[in-house]
Amino acid sequence: MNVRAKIAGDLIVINKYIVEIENSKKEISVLSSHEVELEGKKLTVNLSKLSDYYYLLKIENKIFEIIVAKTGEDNYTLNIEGRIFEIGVKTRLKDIAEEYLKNKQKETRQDELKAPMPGLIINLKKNIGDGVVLGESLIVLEAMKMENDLKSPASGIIKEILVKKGEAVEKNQRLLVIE
Amino acid sequence: MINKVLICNRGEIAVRIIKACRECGIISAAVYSEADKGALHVRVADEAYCIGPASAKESYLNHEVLIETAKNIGADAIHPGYGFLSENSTFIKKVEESGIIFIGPSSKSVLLMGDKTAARRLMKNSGVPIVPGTVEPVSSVEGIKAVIAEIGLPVMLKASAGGGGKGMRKISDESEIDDAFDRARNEALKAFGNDDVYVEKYIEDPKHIEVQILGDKYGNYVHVFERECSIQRRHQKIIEESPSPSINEKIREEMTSAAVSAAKACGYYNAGTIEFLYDKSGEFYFLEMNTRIQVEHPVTEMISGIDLVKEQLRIASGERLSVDQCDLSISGHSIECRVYAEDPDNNFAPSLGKIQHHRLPSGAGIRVDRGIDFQSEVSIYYDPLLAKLITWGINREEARQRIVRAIREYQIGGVKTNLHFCRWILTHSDFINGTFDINFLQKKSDLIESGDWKKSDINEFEEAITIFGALIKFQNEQLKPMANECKGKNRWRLDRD
Repeated sequence: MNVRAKIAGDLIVINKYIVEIENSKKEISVLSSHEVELEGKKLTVNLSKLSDYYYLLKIENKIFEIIVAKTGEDNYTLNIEGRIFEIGVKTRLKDIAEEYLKNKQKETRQDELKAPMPGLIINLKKNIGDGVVLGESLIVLEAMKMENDLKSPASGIIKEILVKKGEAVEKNQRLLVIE
Repeated sequence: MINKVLICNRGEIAVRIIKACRECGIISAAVYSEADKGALHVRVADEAYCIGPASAKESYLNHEVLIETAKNIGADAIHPGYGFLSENSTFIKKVEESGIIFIGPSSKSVLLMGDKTAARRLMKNSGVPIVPGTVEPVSSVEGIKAVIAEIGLPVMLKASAGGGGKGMRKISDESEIDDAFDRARNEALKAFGNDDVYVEKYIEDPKHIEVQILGDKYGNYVHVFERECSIQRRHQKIIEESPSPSINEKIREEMTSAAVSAAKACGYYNAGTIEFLYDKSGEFYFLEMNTRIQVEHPVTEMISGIDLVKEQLRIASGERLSVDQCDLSISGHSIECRVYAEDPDNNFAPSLGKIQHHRLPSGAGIRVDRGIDFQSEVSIYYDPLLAKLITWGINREEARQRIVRAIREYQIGGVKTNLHFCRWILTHSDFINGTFDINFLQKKSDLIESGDWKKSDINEFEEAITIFGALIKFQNEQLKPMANECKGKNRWRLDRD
């Protein structure tokens, strides 16, 4: 079963996936739920989902127990045999679309301040509509018993503030938007 | 004998204390904050009392509420665990005055050992070797210069009231004195409310070796050998073992008898730990005394067969030590690693969430002391120590291979842990050979920050990870085939129209 879609004049097989492992990209084709093709090799595989956080993967005759430590949209932190890896998964199609959009978006910019680590919002120093300059301290985030100054990633006007003082935030959560 | 203990702590140590109480036939009463409603220590205790909101200041550190709770529920003793109020002499004094037994030393011993310069004076007078430097706080830059003229550079400035690396500054050059003095004093004032600092010779790449002691209220003392805790990150221990692979029988003899002298000097009773720095020339120096049960106490229990928390309960209730020194010997080797919910790939930031999958390692020689279970919440409010993984082996290499095997088996889903980082250390040639010191991780910081320490793991599992990633995406797409078919149209609305 090969599903094909036409984009930008190219024929792209959409059962091809891109797996990003700690900054390097790997391409892989899923031929069926029991067969994949990786670097020119066809492999018999089986993935059983035992729970949302616990999977059993069989590749030929080798068994891997895979624990999901953390999960986001198409992102996984995996624990395999006591080792931990961060991966991102998307279809080849989406990868191409993203590259295209990235190039297009370069002109009209909107910057976001994201939480670099989970923590507690101790102080918000600005209000919506305030002008800010690059590097100016905007938010104080308490994490690991230390207060961290979060600085503005750009100069501009604060368009949105998405958190409140005293709120607990996750890593990479959007905190505010600067235009 | 004690009838009921109020355990003024949370997490794995609260669970550990509950187990000891149960074996002694003592009723265990847990306390918990609103954030800890579903915590493991609350699930396994005999009784549990909510003492306030999530913030530790208003719950686990609230003297009045804790003592009031103990009185109201008829607890005759309080166990402080480690951290929180365990070494707070003001709290201990209040407990003593309330007529409740404090399972720990007297407030007097704690006060004495909490003042680092007073402790140094006491040790010096008792013949325990201390790091060369001052035994009184220094009050001026000139004072520091005079000490440097005597003992040479580099030196450390340390807070008299200190601990945990706060109020500490290294001076390698005379030009750094002014700045270091100001900053150490400011930090000390902020952290401890006291800006006294003293000078100590900087010991180059030492090992951290500590001695476990036990003392009862009748002046009987034993030591339960040493632990080596040199693997640290920013003064926080990560991997500990007993016995130390770095000392011989002669040094062990000298160090353990110095530790017993130190305990005697402050009239100590309870379990306690005397920490030493051990330098390359084979000299050791008193660093500080910890007047509580230590996080790493299990490795001592594994090689000695002594239950240290039960000994604490015995001592507090006025019984004599259950053992003499001649009853004690080292059997085999034990290694512990601390399982933290933190992310080594993101500057060790805490990893928060709910435990969604939890399978413990098992088999010969494996012990897990834990504060978490399935569905436990890991929140920002407290220390992210989830559990301690401990193994025993007939020798060091067996204990090491066993802990590496146990890490492979220990599955935690829902939060990220540092177990893979521990595994990397435990399989590093420096760890295997015992050729590491307290700066081991600092010296490897480039490797750690760049993520290069994980490279061989990635190579080993790249194929499996890639296949997993593709298959999980493929399966998820199979589950929602409609989404693709109705691209651009809303089927539901279509039907209604």
